[in-house]
Amino acid sequence: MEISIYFSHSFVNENSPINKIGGQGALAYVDDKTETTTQAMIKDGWRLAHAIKTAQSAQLESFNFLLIFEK
Amino acid sequence: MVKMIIYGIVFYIAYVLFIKKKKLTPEQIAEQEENNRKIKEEQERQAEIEKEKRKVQERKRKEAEQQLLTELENSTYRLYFSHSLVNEDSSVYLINPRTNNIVESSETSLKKLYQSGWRLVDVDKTGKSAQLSDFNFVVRLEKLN
Repeated sequence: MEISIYFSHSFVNENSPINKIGGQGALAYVDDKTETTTQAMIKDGWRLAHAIKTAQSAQLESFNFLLIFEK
Repeated sequence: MVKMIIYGIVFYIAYVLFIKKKKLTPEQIAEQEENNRKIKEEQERQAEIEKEKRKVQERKRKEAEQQLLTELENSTYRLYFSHSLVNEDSSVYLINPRTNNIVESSETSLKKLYQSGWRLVDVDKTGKSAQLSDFNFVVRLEKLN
């Protein structure tokens, strides 16, 4: 089984853009080149196993999520 | 004139007490050297004892950590902590259940754990920060059959 972790600034539906995070710790950054969607990931055989809301905001545009996929 | 005499006496006493070195006999010099040597030897002996004590303590700490790691690793589920879980390569550490501290030597990543047959069953964000560098997480994994 494989694992892949993505981040979304605003995860509101299966077409919301999601990106990999590059680097670690203080050097972590959202890698724009890796942009995809949950729908595309699922078509590719991945399954969304965990979705964790990472910020407190209740505004849709700020629905920050960490998404953990398994295959 | 009296003042001059008093100053003279004071300076002489100061000279005798603080400046003029008492002449030692060869026996006294030998005795002093012997004392210095003994003090130095004692200091070296104490330093060696302290060094040995530290070695023993470090060995015991490592043994205890290794025993704990073995216990934790033999379990079919594991609890890990990450200071910043941002991707599958982020460092995760086992948590010592007796002290609630992380076990530094257990450092691994979710990618490696998945490759070893583990699966993430539960994940909790433990900090409030929304900054990637502070994504503190506790993750629970189970061994796949």
